[in-house]
Amino acid sequence: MSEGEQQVKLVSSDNVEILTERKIAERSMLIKNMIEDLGAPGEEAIPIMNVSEAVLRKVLEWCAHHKNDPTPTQDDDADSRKKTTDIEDWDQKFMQVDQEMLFEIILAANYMDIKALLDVGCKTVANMIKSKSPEEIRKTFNIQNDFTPEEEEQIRRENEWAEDR
Amino acid sequence: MDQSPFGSLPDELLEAIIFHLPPIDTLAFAATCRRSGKIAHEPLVWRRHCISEYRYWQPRHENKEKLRLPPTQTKWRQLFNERKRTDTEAMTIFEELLETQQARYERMEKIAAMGYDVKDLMLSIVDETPDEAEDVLARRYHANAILGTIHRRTAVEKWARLQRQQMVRLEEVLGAYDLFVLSGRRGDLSDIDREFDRIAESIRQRDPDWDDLSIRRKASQIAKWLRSEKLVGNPSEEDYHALRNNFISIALFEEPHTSLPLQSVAIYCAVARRLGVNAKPSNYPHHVHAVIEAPPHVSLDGKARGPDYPPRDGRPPDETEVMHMDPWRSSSELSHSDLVTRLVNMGIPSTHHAHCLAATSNLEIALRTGRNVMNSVQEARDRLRGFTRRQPYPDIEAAWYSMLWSMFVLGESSAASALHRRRQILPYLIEHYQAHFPEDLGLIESIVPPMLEGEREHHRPPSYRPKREEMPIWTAPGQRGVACKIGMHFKHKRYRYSGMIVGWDTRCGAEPAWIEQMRVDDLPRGREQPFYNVVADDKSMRYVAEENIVEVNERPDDVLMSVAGRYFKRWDETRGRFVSNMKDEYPDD
Repeated sequence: MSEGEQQVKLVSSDNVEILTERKIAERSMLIKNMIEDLGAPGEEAIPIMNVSEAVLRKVLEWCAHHKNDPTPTQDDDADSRKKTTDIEDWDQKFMQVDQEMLFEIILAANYMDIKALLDVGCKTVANMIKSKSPEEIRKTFNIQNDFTPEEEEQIRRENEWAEDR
Repeated sequence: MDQSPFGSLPDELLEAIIFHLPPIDTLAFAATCRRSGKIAHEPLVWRRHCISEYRYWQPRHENKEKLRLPPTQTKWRQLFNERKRTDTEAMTIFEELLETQQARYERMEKIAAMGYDVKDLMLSIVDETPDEAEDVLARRYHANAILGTIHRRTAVEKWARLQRQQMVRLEEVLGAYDLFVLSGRRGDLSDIDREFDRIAESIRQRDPDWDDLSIRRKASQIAKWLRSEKLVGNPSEEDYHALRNNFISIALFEEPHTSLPLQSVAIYCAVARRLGVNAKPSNYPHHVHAVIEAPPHVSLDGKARGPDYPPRDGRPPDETEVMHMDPWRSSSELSHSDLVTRLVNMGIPSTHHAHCLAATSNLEIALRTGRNVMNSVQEARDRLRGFTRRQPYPDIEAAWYSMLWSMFVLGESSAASALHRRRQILPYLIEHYQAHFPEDLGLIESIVPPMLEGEREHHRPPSYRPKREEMPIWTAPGQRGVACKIGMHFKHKRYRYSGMIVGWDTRCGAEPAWIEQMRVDDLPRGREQPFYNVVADDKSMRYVAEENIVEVNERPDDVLMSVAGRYFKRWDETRGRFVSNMKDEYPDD
């Protein structure tokens, strides 16, 4: 059995054990580093403390689909700093979840250090914000407007160039 | 924000989301609540918007310097807002100038005065106006014309600095020529700068011990790299004088990267200088080389020298102090004795050899380029004669204009001879500007008079405004008997060139001398027939008798389409005619 096909045991925050391929789990830099530190993969269970079973399964589903993606280099990273919010089809479907799950995935991707998944999550939220007015954004995400009328007036003045939307 | 899912995200993740938002959505998000507002207004966010939305900025912003500072030291959001306001202001003026012929040049000048702060906006008009837009030709034409004015103003200012003996870098002196033929392409001075930085960095990265190499070794490594990337030289000897070979940005950005030896050497020198090698173009006749000089107290091979080096005995520098390269032809060093032998064979007296082998000034290189452009344009014109015309690239008239400007601005520093030269060039410059670049009125009026100072005629301020017939303004009453319409695409019955009608007279309205010279009265219908003002497919204005006009209904070629925007809104495919842009001047047409 090659290293990648080894099984590793993960434990979610609600104490559920999940078996998965090492290669899939190592999309997470957190897990990759832990496996390297532990030295004996497969034997000891790896606790993923902040992620519940449901979310962890969802994250691993993403990792399994992307297990053969090349690891991004530093250069790619600089290039991806463009404003493009294109998301590939599979990822788009994958992200069709309720808002709560979406934000849980983002938090998990951040905690588990899966850069590409974090990106997809953030882009998905960004796309939900795009071409909306502040009021529409508030409604979409249930945001409480805590500005005073004076502050709102000042914002309006500063944003004059964006008025004609 | 408490019940909102955003409440569960730490600031850094909110930042990561905002990172994917364009400016307008960043603002909308910032306006939702205090926390969003605080994070979305971080300088880093607006620094990114400034960089990704706008490639070009007026030099006064010193953005290159600002980018090196910590982001919080610059008011990026304010800068972005300022730039947006400039866009809005420029766009308002632009819409007005499309609206009416009146004060059109003044409006164009107003926009051009905003300089590089409107370049991105003008580029977007050129690139993003859809083909089916109601006034597509006019939009693209005028945005392009404004871009041209901005570029040319920069070029002329660089040359004026050089003429005042202020510091202008070699690549700027040459890139100034490119600014005349640039149009919407990449190749502005800042693009050239960035590209040289990038090339130098690639060369440095390839060799981990770069900084320890001797100058001699660096000099040949640089040539080797440039040649392996085919960024210098010209494999096709036939095309040696091709107009494009005179332009450093075309050599850098367009395949194949061919250039003249002078431009190849300039590319070499610009890269070398970024890598700590002091290379300059030489005075060598017919074929410029690069002269590389050792730094003080070190030989080209890296040997330390005593403090009394170099000796001041007037002898020419030896081969440990100076070397020559010909990156256009090879990546190895030129032998000193070969260079001397060639000079002898050219019949150059030995007293001149030291001068020929030494580095030359940027002014001399600029003048040499001007002469090369002149030759290349003449060659290109000869080649075009008698052929079906197609848009030659780079544009011949623009290249010729660059040569006229450089000859006008640059040259001998003695006041009397400079004045003499400028007086000789002036009529050509003015004629060319009026015929092809009338939008340069402001440039002409700000640069030309001070440069002619001391001249007697200056006391009677000359008018450089385009002559009336250059402005497509018509005075003919009614259109009785006028068969052809403005906007018609036609072929000349006898000379076969094609063109478009931009105005008419009910009878020949030219001067008697012209009527006689053109033998108008020998035409079957004589001078008592309608005459048309037309733009021909070589971009010239002509005056044609009605009997010589043969209507062509098909879509005109690219040259006509590119200049048509000066007079027309768009080409109407179904009517087979241009749609006029200037109903206000031709109510009867």
